[in-house]
Amino acid sequence: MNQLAILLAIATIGYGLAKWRRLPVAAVLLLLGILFSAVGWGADRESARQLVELGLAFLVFNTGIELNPRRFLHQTRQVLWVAFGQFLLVGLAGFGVARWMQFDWTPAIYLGFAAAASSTLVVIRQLKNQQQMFQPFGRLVTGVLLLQDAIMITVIVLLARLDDGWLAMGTDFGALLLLAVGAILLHLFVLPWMERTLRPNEELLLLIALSFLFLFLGAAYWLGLPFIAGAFLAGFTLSVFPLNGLLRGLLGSLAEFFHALFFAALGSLVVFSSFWVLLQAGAMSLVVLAGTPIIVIILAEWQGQSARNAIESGLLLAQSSELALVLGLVGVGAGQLDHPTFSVMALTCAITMMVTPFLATDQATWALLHRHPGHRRSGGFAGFEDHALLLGFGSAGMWVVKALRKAGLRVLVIDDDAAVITHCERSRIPCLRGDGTDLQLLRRAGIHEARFVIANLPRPIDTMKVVRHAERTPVVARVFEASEEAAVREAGGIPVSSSQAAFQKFLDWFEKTQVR
Amino acid sequence: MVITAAVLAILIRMIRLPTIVAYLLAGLALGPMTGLIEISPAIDLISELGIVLLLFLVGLELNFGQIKAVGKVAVFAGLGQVALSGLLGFLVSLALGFDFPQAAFLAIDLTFSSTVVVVKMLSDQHALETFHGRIAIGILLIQDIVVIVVLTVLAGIADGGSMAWNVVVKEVAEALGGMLLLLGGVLAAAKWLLPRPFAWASPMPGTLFIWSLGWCFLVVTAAHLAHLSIELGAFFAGFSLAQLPYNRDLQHRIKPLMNFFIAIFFVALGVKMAPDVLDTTLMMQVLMLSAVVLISKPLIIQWLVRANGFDARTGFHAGLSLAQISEFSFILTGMGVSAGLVAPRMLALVTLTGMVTIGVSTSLILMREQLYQFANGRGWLGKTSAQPIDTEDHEKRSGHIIVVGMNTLGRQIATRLHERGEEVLAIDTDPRKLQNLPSRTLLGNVEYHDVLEEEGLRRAKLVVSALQIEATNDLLAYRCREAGIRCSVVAVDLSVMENLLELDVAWVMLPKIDVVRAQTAALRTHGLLGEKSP
Repeated sequence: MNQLAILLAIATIGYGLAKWRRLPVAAVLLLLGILFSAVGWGADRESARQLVELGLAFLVFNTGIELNPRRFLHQTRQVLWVAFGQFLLVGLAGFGVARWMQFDWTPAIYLGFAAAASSTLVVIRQLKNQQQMFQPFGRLVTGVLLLQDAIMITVIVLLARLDDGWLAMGTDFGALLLLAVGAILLHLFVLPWMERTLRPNEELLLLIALSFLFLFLGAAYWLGLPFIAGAFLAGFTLSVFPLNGLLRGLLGSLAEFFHALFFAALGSLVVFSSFWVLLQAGAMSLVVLAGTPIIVIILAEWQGQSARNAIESGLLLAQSSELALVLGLVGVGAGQLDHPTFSVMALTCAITMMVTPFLATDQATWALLHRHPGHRRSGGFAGFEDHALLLGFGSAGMWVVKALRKAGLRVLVIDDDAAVITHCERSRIPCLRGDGTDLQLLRRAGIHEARFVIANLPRPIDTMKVVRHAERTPVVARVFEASEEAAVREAGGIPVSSSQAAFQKFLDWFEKTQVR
Repeated sequence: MVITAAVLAILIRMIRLPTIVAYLLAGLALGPMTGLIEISPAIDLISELGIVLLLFLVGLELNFGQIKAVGKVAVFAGLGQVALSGLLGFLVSLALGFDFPQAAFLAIDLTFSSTVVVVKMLSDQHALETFHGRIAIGILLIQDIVVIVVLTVLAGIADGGSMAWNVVVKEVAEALGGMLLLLGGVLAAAKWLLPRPFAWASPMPGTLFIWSLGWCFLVVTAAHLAHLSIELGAFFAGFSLAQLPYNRDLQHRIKPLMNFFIAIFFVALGVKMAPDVLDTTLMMQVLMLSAVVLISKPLIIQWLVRANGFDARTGFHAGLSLAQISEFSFILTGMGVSAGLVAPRMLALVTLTGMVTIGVSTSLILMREQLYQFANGRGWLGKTSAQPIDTEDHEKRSGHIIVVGMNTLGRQIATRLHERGEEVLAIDTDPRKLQNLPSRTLLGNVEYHDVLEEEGLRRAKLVVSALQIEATNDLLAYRCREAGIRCSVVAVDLSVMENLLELDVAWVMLPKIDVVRAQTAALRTHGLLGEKSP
């Protein structure tokens, strides 16, 4: 109980610090754990190890629950290319740098894989905080993360048997496939039946969920696989709706509890033996921080994402995954890694996670966008005057265009989604592909010659940019929150509240149906 | 362990018995009967965590007003019950042929009720805030104080120390003084230290949750250092946080965590409970003692509660809740056996009596309302002039509208519907967003099952979600469909429409599309549509 109290104390301080400085909680907890351990205040290694294993099982289990393939069904090709491409190329870069730093082959392989995947925990939180989870690039990033988690689990299973040869690795891979098939069958047939038939209450649902976790942990143990493979597949089994939604509420606090303990305890296991470890971690961090954005930007754009979305995705994915820590622990347990190498992995993880909130910002995005080769191609003036300029086609674009055409206006659309541009071209709607906040593009579209601009952009900050760029051209800006409305009005724009519009229609429906 | 508990819980549920019975049976099945499980330090730690979280949750449920309402009756009934049950238990034990020391031990064993079982059952039935629930908890707290005295005396005997009165009084005074100091400290913290930091942390539910656990363990550690029970520390920690406005949200977050750990506790208890000696005489003694506990305790408590002016129903339910012996009795008897004060056979006797009384009482608690109607209908409870005051069915809302997500849209809906005379409940996870709303508000996360259930989801007229979170809206729509309640949610974009319509959402709000007409109107208003001026 004392060890638990120590770790909770670390977690309490860590959460407070993270909130105060707006840093990722995981990284702060990890660093605090290292710090406390270094001064002798941390948890003892055995307790820390047990709690790390328990925490890990829950964390990976929770990740599996969110792995619902329906989420990124419409972007499967993009997700596959970006996920695998990033994993392979960044992994190779990491391996190369590790070898250059004189690591042996096996540790270098581990370090390469550790650099390859991004952190689901950190990125999902970032997306939620910025309310970008359900935007197209948010869905792409989520899909990439979940797929990379599955890849990492497979890698962990295989690497644990690296020293035993190809046959052993093949056998374990086969065992993993067998377990995965079992998980898929349960996911598709048994769990939906259980939910319909048993109609479990909250307590029973929690027990059933945890039973599946322990069942798969047991099965993994029996098949000779690392326990996290079982935990991940157990989570995947339960990722069917509505179970995953019901469980999110139940397991949320368990996940938060173990998340806090896991990272705090993990810090206690890190051995900070020399300054050289820090330098090595710095070098690996550079690979991740520089290499990941470049590779993801190229791959995402190639797959049809706009330059801006690709850059945002790349910056968001530029950190090491928490599963790299799992990989490290497995490597240490298998005798393939020494503690200093594990420390390099842990520090790389902590450093890159800490940098994410500073890197994945609009300022960084714009800085890269200005240097983007495509962006520098300004092109000539499109020749439109007295037209309506529509920024952001979205779901309502056709209605807007129809209404404006009915009023006798020419409409020019700017959107960064390739699919939208294709649709507009087919519908003979003049359009330009690009970022609606890009001043050069706006000039090309004749923003100062337009009669007005309709700004239907997803982010308030983008809307404000357009209002300022437009100068004397009236901008009718779609806003949602009252604060955005006030800001647009103050900047000289014409805010139109979508929440007010939705509210009015809701009220009409409410009164008409006279809900009793 | 968990798998067995889950399977048994499913089976037990089919015959409508409480899950606690399933956990105990799982422990029996996994323990000495099959030898599959041994109690390891890790399991002990998890069990201990379960008790800590349970008492923390109990503390979170109470506030000063509630304590004040039942304080006097709890003290009177608690002390009275300890005295009367102790005396009765002692006399029955003598009658069964036990000698003086053993009879005294048995009397103490039979006196105390199980905090863990009672609180778990009350929590499952959402009865913690009722009068009978609060009285039961109050009595349990008084018993905990008496336990401190008993343990202090017994520890002195077991250590072979001095039994001089002055030594005993000194040690008891130190224990009670420590308790008062700790309570004073946490209450002072609740008033002066905690409010600002917790208010700062409150917009981040994860931070609030971890901080509350951190606070709990800080107080538990302080209790441990003061030689007080960790359960008392956890209770005090929860009680201090109950004075802050986030207590309900914290309750919903702590509960799933507690459910998991407490399940392990009960299974572990079942493992420890299995006796290694069984004979006819023992079984007869078990049945006699169990009958004494199951019959006399409810009667004593009921009489004492009614003597304080409460109605028959409150007294009946409070008494029935406490009709078992405590797991503390096993510890106490174990100490007695180790000190050579009682025979080893006593441990088997107490263990079996515990199994029987806990198993039977939990089933009785589940049927308490039917039992009350049965007894009252036959006039067994006598007449009373006291007015029915139990608040269990009080304030059962119906016909209200629940609005989730206090962004601009949600606030407009909540405010306007309230102005139209509808009863509105506004829910959000951020306390700042709930400020200055004319309707009733609740800080909470609707992903937690209890949040909507406690607010009468099944009796609501309509549920509206202004959230722009696809996953939460899907879940909300699903829950409303299962409850047969109409719901209206926001669609983040057209791609989610199909899913929402499959979930029978009555009205889908599409701000991005609904705004088109308003934009066109704005353009007309500003003279931007039509011919351009030369």
